[in-house]
Amino acid sequence: MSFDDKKQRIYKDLHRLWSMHLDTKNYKVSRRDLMKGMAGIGLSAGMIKYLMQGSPLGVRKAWAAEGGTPEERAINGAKALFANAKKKTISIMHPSGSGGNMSPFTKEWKELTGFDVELIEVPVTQTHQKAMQEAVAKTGRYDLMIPAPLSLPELAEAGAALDISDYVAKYDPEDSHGENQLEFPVREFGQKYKGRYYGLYCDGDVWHLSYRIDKMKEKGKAPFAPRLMVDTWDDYDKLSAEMNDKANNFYGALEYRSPFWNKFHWMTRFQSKGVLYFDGEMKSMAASPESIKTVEEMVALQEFMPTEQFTYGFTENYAQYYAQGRGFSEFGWPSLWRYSMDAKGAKSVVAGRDDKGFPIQSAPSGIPGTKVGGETLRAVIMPFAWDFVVNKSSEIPEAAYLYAQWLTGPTMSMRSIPNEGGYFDPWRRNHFLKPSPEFFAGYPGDYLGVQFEEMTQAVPEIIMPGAAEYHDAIDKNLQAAYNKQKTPEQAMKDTAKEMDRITKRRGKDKQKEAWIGLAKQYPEPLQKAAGVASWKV
Amino acid sequence: MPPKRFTWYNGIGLTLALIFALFPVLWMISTSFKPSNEWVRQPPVWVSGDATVENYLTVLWPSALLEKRGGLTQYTEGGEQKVAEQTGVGGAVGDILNKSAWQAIWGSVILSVFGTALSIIVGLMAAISIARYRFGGNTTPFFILSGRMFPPIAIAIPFVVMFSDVGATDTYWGLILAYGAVTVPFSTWMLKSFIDDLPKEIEEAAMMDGMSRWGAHLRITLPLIKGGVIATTLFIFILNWSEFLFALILAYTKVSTIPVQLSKYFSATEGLLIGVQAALATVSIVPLVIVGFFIQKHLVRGLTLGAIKR
Repeated sequence: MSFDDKKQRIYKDLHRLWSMHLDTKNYKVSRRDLMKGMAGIGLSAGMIKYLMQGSPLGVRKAWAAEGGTPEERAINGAKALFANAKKKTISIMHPSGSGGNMSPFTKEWKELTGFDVELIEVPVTQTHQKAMQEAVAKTGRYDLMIPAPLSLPELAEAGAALDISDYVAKYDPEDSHGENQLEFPVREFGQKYKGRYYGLYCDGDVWHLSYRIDKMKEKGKAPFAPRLMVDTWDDYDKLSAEMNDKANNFYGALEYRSPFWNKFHWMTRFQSKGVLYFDGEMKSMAASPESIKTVEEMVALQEFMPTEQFTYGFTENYAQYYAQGRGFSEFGWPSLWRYSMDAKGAKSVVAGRDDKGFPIQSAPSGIPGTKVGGETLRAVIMPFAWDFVVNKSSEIPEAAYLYAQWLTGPTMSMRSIPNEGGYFDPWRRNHFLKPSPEFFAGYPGDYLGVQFEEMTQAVPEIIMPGAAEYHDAIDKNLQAAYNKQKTPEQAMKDTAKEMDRITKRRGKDKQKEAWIGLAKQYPEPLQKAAGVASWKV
Repeated sequence: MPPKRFTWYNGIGLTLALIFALFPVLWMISTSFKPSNEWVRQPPVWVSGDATVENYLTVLWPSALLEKRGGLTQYTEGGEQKVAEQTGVGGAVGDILNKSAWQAIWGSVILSVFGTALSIIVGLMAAISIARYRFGGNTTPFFILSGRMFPPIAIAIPFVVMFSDVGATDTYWGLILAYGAVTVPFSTWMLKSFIDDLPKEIEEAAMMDGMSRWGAHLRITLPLIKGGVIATTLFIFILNWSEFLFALILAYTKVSTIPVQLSKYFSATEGLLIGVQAALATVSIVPLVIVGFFIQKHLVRGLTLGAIKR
């Protein structure tokens, strides 16, 4: 074959392969040629993608947004999106009282990216309803919403919350690696549903126990450990009895027994016995011996509590009892510690400090646990918290996500949390381990150290579809037990029956899948005790 | 007929009834002057010995309260600073002290006044057409009432969808339409009952004397049922004044009302700001009390209109 023939043949093959009409307009591409060409393109693209992913030099990173921090990547990403954005204002639906964590930074965000921010305040009890309303109406009026993590499954299933996993991969909020990451398990159960990201935390709400260390010293007692008032619930019950001085209007224990609030005590105490809300077959464990024993213990403890516990909500306990020096210990959110340390605004009488500013009357402690097989298991409940959720109907979902990543980044969150007029609390590692002076001023003493340890032992509420119904079943039956309308056994049997009915109505398989997904996000000791590893969907 | 005497047991009964009726109002006013540590104290504080106007300042004049406190601590680009002025979005302080309740108060006034006017005008015409001309047959009044036969939330979401499509959310005119739509069944039925009690021969006589139908209704019927119209107006006004659901779901930032604003007074450390809520609630009843006082004569007449049947 001559050189010209070879050349002609190569041209012909090129035509056949790529359908490129280099020198003739009459050449026709057969279906086979087209298939070959497309297969070639596909294989080439696949190879390139594979090589890029496997590159030791981090070629893959080059495809992600540029920037050394989550905040920088968010700013760069938003700047790039601004020119072609359909909307130039990011509208945020937020619970009332939280605006102070965001409003001081809207101007800065606008200067950095061009996007303005509009804050739409809704009553704190209406965030879920407003978000669900958006799921139906799909108005796109909100780009970001701030519901509690408990709402995530419902919002995801209803189509209100956008799956932001791709944005997380692209812009990397550094929530699961690096020195500013969030701790396991908190980073998992409050942001993800069925393994996919639907939210970014803007608030952490793990419980702790505040107690009167001065009163302990008066009685010649010492805490079990620097960050633990007592080791176990048995110790806690005994100490509550000892510290109780009803005659002088001083109570050994302050626990919620009022509607809605009371169930959190059961959730934390019961699960520390190594049994979770459901078993691997989605059967409610509310009627288990551990659960019934928990309720019996809680009813017995009421002897050392003021009667108002049956009516007081979360802040009345702070204001009327603990901060007034009328209770030995109280469980609560970070706001409990802040409130009890506020001598001026809250007029707390337990806010005493030494000359270095260290609290001397009150001390923060971890939540007690239960001895199971020689090991103390702890199940520190995290009720509430708040998440940034991108509205699936938003016209600018990516820009909305980027604002959330920016404000919840390690540096920005360190600036926004201490602001008055808001109520976001710490959740990232740097908040606890490297707090700025102003951050530390809001959480004095050893509170941040205690809270950091609590984060690693946190357990969720029942964060899955039907959450509100499950919670309500637990809540009302516990109320009946506290008020002696039912025995603990009867109350918890009724609870289990109602929970199983809810599961059946919602579809057992679907609920089981969601539950096992949640159970695998529990702290490892609790997973081990409950045998979660063997559970299969 | 023996003269009526006001006996001592009448007095006791009346006093007890007054206490029963007014106690919530008195408690609300008392709470509005209490500092935060007395809002839910046990035993209750009846009248605060440490009375404060801070709750009212929070509602009506938060900038003065901020100034008194020396501002709120904010950490912005320049480090720690005290912010004592209202600067709106882009540098504002927290939610609660960021804005007064005046937007909500004006919102309630505008929506209630125009929503009530719309409802009364439409309701009056509907009532006349039904009572006098049997418009739409016997079933029309029930069709009109059917809008109130299921929970408002059932129609709330369709309202959001429709209002979003036509750009009526977060606007005064949109909310006025919504308020009018949900109260028209009440106004129609109430006014219809007043018109039913009025002999139609009076209007017929006027028409025989040369008045048009419109003239007869406007110049004869309306003045004769004036008390009923005023009673209905006040009733509809109160409904609109206390409406929560539609204001919550159809408004975002440009429009607000007192009931929605009341539910926003919440802080993480103090929970519901009961004293502040009591202060706004106290402020909110003032217009109704004033209006009620001036129209009480017509109100009594309106409520008893038709009590003695033909």
